[in-house]
Amino acid sequence: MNDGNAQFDPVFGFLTVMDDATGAMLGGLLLLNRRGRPLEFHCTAAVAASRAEEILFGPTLRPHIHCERIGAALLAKATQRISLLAVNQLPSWPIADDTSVPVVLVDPRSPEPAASDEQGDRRPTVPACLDRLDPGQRAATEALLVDLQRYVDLAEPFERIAEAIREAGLLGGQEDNPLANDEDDHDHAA
Amino acid sequence: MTTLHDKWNLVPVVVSITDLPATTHFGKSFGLPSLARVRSKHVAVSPQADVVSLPLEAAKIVVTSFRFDAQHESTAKPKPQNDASPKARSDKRTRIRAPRDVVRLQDRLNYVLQPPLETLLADELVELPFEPFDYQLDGIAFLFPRHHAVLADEMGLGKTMQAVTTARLLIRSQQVRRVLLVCPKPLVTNWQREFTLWAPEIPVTAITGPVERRKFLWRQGAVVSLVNYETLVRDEQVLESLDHGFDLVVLDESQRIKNRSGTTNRVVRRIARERSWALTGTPIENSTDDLVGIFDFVAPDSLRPGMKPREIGRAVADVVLRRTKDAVMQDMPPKMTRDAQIDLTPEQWQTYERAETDGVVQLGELGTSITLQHVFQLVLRLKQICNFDPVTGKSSKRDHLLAELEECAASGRKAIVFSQWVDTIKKLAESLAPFHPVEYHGKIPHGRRDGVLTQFRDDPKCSVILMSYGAGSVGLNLQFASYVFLFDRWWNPAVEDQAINRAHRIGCSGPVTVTRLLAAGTIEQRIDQILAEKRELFDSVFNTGRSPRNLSLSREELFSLFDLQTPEGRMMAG
Repeated sequence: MNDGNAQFDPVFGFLTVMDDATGAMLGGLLLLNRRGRPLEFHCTAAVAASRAEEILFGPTLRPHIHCERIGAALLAKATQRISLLAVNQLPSWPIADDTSVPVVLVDPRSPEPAASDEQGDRRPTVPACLDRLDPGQRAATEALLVDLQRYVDLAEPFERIAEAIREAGLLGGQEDNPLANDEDDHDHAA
Repeated sequence: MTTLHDKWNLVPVVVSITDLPATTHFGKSFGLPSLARVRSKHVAVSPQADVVSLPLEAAKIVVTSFRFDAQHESTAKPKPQNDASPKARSDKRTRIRAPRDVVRLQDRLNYVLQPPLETLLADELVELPFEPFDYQLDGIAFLFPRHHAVLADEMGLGKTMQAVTTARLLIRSQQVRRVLLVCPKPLVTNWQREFTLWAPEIPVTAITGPVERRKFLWRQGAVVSLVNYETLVRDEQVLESLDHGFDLVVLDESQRIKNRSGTTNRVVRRIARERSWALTGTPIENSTDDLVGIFDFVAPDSLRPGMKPREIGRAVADVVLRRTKDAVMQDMPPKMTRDAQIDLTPEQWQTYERAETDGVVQLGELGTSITLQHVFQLVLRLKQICNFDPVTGKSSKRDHLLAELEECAASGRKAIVFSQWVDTIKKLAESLAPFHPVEYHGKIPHGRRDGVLTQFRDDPKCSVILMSYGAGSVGLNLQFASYVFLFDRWWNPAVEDQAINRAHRIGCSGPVTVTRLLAAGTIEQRIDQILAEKRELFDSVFNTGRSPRNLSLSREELFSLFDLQTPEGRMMAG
């Protein structure tokens, strides 16, 4: 029986979008526990923008597909309550506006924690941008990130997503595509 | 005044937007053109243009979902607070990849989506005494997901450490609860030491002692049971009566089961188990059938006798991991191998020639009743003469060795001398007395062997250890020795490599010089040629995929050592 003192077990989401060989986009959402072990993985089939979308959305096409189509669909499939969502691409970051989950942008180029600021702030820092957080979410989010970083390099789970999408054969041009339908198989055979 | 509208005959264009997904919010986040703005946008068209519709059909996004059970983690040790991050320190990320025999995508992704090995190992709950080498992490990542695996690294690369650490991770994640480890008798204490070093929290039970004690120990269902091959065979019935199987069975020096009709092979195959791993630096000693014997245990029915090397290479590609020191230890001190071709003394020559001539004549006289044993006996006799003249006791090899050891001892270095025969070792011990040699062979009781090794390592006067291939070629760590002498040649290069790698292994502080003594113009040279061909066989399976020429020291090859002729023609093996 729960004694009421059970430790809060946060769930961390990592969302990324990849381009396949045809230029279509597909996304993956990986949910991890605080030690970096996988809990859920959701991935989309490739999403190709129509010509009309390209014209209408222009430079905002990519954020639209990242957030409102792929990101929204993936988040809708998560069965666990996500404590923190990390994205690693600028076009995915606006998803913060459409969800109550705190969203941070991880810079894959800076895996090492940044140095403390000049004011002598000795709080642990994280290689993630928190600018889209509500001020009220900031402290709790920082604490979550520090806890997660004990076990996980924030940029690393995105590599897992990419690897899993490749493993699933979703990127196109691969010989075996376990998620492809029969027609796809015939296309490959042809 | 003419407006732009009039001049270009601009007309409003209505863009119809249909089938928008419910979640689409135009303009909300990204400053998109609002529908109103789109409607009032003017573009230049011909007078005939009416309405252009751009259907914006957004197909439903198909999402495939996978859910995983987060593996149970031990929480026995509390997580230190305000501690340094346990994350891996290096940038390298070793991924655990699904083996080929894992078919379900869900299962494959369960491997792919695990944290990199560095993260698992750097966790404060899995402390390691030393930072593993990158190739060792690769080896652990290889073993971890596999139910069928052969770790065939060249000797000295740390197969034991890789197996222990992987078993530790599997035990900690509760994927494995009972491990049985089988090794040659002299290596039992070595395995105990390695577990203490690399997995100190995991208790190891050595199955030794009288029958009743062993029965008791078998039935305890220890986390790790350690047993030597001989005891395992003796306890076959006890094993079969156990009410539990093993989650993981590891065979060290698994070439011990290469003989498919042997008792050891039969017994290990019958052990109830989930995972089967074999560790060996020499998966092929004589012929590719050796590997078939090992695979009878590891992955039954995946190999069959008589398969071509290339076929075998393909069949085992996902199950065997083989690395060589040259490939992975580029910063390791070099190993220099040289063949010292030595002319026999006149007395030795005389004896040798007489023995060979007489022997061949005798073989010829046997006619069709000749057997492999007859040829083998002659080979052994000639090889012994190449070592020492039985009549006068002269030996040009010994004289050469003495000269070499002078230099070795003078520089304060240590040497290992290997021979096939205890008799030769005894004779050498007398001649090498100034170097205070110690002996390590089958006639030295097991209880004294550790003491011999300690003396060789710690006694500055003791410059030489004389070893037999049988007792000294596997599992020993003698990396403080700088010189290895092969006084005579073993029958296959794999055993010779094992011997050489007692010294040339991780931890050796300087280059290792290997000298193979070879009596010029004798049967030793002919054997050497066959050994070279065996190396080709090994390469053809594990390295290059090239087809080998003739393979092992077969019956035909033994016969071919002597050009035996009869009136009916060249004699062949019967």
